[in-house]
Amino acid sequence: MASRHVSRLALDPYLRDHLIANNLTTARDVLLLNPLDLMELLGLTWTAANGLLHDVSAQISPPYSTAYDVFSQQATAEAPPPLRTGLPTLDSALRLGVPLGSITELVGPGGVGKSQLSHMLTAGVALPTALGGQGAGVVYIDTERKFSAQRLQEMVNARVAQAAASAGPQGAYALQAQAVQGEVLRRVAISTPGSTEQLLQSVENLQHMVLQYKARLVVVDSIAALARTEYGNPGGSAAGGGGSGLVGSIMDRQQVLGRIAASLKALAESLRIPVIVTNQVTTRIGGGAGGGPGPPGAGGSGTLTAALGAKWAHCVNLRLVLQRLQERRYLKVAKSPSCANVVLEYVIGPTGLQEVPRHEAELPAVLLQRGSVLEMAIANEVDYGLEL
Amino acid sequence: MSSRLEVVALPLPPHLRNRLLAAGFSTVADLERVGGPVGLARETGLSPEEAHEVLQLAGAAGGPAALGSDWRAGTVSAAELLASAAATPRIVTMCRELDDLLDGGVHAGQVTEFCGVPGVGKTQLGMQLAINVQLPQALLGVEGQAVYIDTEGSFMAERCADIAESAVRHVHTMADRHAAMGRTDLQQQLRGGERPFSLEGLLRGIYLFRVHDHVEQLGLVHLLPRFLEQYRGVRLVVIDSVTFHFRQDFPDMAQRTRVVTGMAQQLISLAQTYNVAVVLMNQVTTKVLEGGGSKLVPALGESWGHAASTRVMLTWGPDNERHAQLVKSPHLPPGDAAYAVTSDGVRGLPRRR
Repeated sequence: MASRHVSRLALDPYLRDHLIANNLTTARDVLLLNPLDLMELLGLTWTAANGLLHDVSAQISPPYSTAYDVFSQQATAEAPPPLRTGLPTLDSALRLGVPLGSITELVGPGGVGKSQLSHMLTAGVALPTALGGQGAGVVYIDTERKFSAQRLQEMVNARVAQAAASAGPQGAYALQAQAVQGEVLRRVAISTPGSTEQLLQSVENLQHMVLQYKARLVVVDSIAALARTEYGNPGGSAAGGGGSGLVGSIMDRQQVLGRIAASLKALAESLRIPVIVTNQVTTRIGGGAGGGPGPPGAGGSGTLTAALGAKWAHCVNLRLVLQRLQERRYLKVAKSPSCANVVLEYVIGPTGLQEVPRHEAELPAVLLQRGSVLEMAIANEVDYGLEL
Repeated sequence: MSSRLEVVALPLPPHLRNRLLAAGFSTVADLERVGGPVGLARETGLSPEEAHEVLQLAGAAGGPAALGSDWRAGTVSAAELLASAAATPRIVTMCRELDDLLDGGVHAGQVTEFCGVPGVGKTQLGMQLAINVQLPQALLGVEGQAVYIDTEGSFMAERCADIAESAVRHVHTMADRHAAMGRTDLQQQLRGGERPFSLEGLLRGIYLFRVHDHVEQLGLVHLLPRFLEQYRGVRLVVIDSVTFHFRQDFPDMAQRTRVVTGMAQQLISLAQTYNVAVVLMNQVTTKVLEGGGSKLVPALGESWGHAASTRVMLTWGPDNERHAQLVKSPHLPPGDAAYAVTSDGVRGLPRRR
């Protein structure tokens, strides 16, 4: 993030020129130094050096509010409308919808429904308010070329059909599927970065797209794909001693992920919108905390866990885990600052994900267990129907 | 004028006085430049203890401060420290086991660090402490306010409101209980007080700052002393989490270490100068061990390890419960406490009958 240039800070002009002459051109440059460094470098007295640090700090520090201010703002009419997922158990746990100003992660094995859920939420925002949407734009960053305009169209049609069926013959407004579709699809902006560098660029330029399209949702689907292929998987000892090259690339990957997370959070917060990011799963050879994936096909038990490691797990505020168990699909809240870790069963239908109402006793016990989000095993029991 | 006081006027026994006069000391001013008791002893042949006594008397008689009467400044005896430690305000967590682990709760005047895996409850604990600092003294609170510095966007006001509401219910229940036993002071305090112990009152007692990058964080830490001067009721500063913004954008590790160490020193000084509890939340990172395998360690590693005097690791135990392990403390033994995060906030585990 760009740091404020010294020329835009209210400082004594002589002092400002002196800073620039000594290559301290941004607020960051000044604040990374301590008073002794400044005294040495600029020939200032102790008092003057501390005064400079104080002046710069006062101008770039964030203002404060109280918890009450934030709390009461959320309840007012000016608050943006909550983004509902359409899954009753999840919506009632989330209270204010998908959280604004923070990163919500959807993680699960391939084909379980992460993209479906992303498309469904996209439709939820882009549909006109008459159909229960927000009539707002969506920016969809698609790193795997999986965005499907046809599927989105299908979801819109299904919602229109639902509304027409419940409106009955007295439906006063004309629900013309064609018109609605066109409207919705025009509101969704797709961006397809081809590399992590491009992804970082897209994320840093998001604010322009979001404002242009009047977007109230940003989706990054998926964040894992590029990061994992470009920086390689952190290999175990089987990879030939795991030399410094691999370790170096893990650190780079962490750096890039950290920057992407920080940019997304800052954007989400300043524009008060939700950001949804999808992540993949990786295989962890059983035992040991937080290990990276081992070589595929290695003998012995391996469990699936969220990819991208501990650092990324810290960056997300809300983690929703999608998994397959005993031929059914489940969604679980694995990490949340404000709601309980609910579990629900779902199926995929024309409108996207639909919840299957179940009592707690009918849900598999293994899902209701608590434990570290880093160690959480993600089930992917798929019957490929192959004869071996 | 007093430095011209003559040595003969000091209340000294004759043998000491004669020795001083014989060595050429005639006024108190002469005693100034002698280099303390050791120097005086060498010149006069007195023992160091006698020399010390002479200088004490000269200082007490109105001699200049250079005679060493200010040698006491800045030093205290261990007994005094012990007495003041017992009187140090503590902020409870509302989990009895965890409070016991920390000897009553988080201490003022110190920096305490909580590290843990994502989802273990660091933010929950931060919010709970920000509410508990406001508890009435009759219920082990310090009636203070809190500064909450949110660096990751984890602070959820509606969740904090849940925790606050539960605290309000708890306090009113206790006040009723006290009143039933004849102690009505708590009830009166709640009814008549200038600061209402209500949801709104509690939320207004938390000053919230949201920092977006390390530059804002450094700037804010510089400004905290002024803020605490202005808002003298603050007794707790929480930074959640303190290392997030320093884990990227620092290709030069040496620079990062310098900057982070500087920040740590400022926080320690803040805690001591204003007698507030500074609580830092930290993330964990995966450390690859030689010979394969890995373990989770606090982020930012060794360079950050010196910041907090008390360090607690929050983990998930084999019993699928949350555990707090005290791994570093100036005077408490290492230990383990289990705790829970409920809809009311941080609490102890329910007792099984």
